[in-house]
Amino acid sequence: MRLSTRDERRGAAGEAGSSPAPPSLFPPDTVATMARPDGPLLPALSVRGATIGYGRRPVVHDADLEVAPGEAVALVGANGSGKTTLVRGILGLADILSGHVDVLGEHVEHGASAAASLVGYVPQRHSVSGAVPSTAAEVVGAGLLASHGFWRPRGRDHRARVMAALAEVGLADRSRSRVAELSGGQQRRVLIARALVSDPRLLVLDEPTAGVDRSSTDALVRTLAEVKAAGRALIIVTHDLAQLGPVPDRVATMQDGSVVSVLAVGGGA
Amino acid sequence: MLQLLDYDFMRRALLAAVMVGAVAPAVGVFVVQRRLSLIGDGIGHVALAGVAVGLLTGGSPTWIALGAAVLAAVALELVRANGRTSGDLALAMLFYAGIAGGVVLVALAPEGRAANLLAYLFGSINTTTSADLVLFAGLAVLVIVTVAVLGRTLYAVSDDEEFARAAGLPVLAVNIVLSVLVAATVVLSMRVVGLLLISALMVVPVALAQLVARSFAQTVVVACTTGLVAAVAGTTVSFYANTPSGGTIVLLAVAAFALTAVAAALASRVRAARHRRRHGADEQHGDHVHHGGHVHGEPDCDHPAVPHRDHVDFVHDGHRHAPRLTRHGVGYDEH
Repeated sequence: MRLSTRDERRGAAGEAGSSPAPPSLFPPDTVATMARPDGPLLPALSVRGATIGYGRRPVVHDADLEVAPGEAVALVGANGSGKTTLVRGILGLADILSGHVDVLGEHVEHGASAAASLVGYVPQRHSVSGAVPSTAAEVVGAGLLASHGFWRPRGRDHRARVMAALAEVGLADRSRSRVAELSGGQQRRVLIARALVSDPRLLVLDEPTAGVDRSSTDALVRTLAEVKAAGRALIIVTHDLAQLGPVPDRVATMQDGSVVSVLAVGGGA
Repeated sequence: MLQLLDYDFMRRALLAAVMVGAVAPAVGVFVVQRRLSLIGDGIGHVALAGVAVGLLTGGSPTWIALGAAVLAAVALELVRANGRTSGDLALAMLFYAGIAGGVVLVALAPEGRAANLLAYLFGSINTTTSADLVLFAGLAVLVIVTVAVLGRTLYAVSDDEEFARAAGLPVLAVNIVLSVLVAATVVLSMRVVGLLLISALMVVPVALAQLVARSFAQTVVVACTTGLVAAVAGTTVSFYANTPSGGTIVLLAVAAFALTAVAAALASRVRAARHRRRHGADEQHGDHVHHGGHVHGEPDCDHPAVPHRDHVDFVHDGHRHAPRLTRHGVGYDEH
């Protein structure tokens, strides 16, 4: 499989109506900062023997999964196989009943926000536009609240970070557009920018390509490849692996609440 | 207008109108974003029960209503967060419990006091006292300061609760704050527009603003301005026309919404016609017509086909396209 260069991908994204050469929020050399001074790279995500559920009811049993910085893992499985619960456990939205879930060494617990700033989340939403008009910049700005302090006034660098995140997904020129006026694929990229703006090390995406047509999916996949190339780890829940093209390095399959296989697919966009 | 200001009661009424008109939409915009436009009505009905307790016991109906509304607001959020009851259903329960409690308690109240209930149900801005104004000013300052400090957080949580929770924001606390703001606004508004129209000043100016605004920030500004103008104009008209203030204010706001909706629809048609003239009939759908150089249904089309009544739609970028023949070839309507 031939891999496109970073510049080729940027060019293609520009042709799809995006702005050229977006500045990255997260230069590749910062990946080095994730390494322990005296040891190997910390995994972006480490799930070890984790049983995850709600209250006392386990849904995911004894799951193991490790994702390295700059690696993308697709999470596949039938409806009800436990994908969403595993993801919610990683996000701190479900109870970890036994075992461990660590994000870059930070222990994840239900309701605790210690790891929240390290994880970006792109929920599955068919439409980003709410009942009240919002611009792309306003939606993305919401992603800065947790890391900046939700009670503090907007910092001086607020707009610069929002613009950098929009540039990273190729939408710098649409910052003032109403999100309702953007295409489905562009709306998904706005949600990715909202997750990226707080500079997370791990990005969790729930069905990012669902309901998006092929040409928009191509732009979306190019964006994900860029995000991965910048050193972020990706977990992508999907029903349609083929749509993700060469982005996933490995595919984790879930069945009846267990991770039954984790296979390398040799993509590596 | 000068004649109007000669009267103490009208000066107080106009001050109350300014506060309610500007404050109610500032809270309403988050409520509408959360798709809980009727939450004000639900909490308003509980405030009615509070008013009834006041009438029954001889206590201050406004203060008791404030306490009841705040308790109901917090209970609503706790039920939504922890119970198996949806927000919609919890709101309906609140609505019925409030009005049933109000009706029963008012029936038990002494006859003379119960007559005052009408002032709370339909609004009686002209009977606003100086003590009321002090309480209203306190509530208005509370609401404005909270929205100014927590506005972006209220927006983030109202827009996407799941994302906000994953990002580590205190979603339950923020939702409780918003509900308490609604309770404060309800009590602030009940003397002006009445409990039966309580949500109108929170929702109608926002409905108008979202027709013309391009951003959330613009929506807040346009909605608050609309609310302020409608409240002051309605109070003024009600003085000269001898009509109930609450109904007059709300009718003016609804009329402004209807006029804006018609104007927005006309402007949209004019823009579309101009665009057609400039680019030709088929290009009104821009890239949708060309689809990157293919026609839906051709071998190179990968858009899923979905049968729809007497034709086939094609799923395109999250929505559906229905083919139609035009003089330039195939065009697509969005279904």
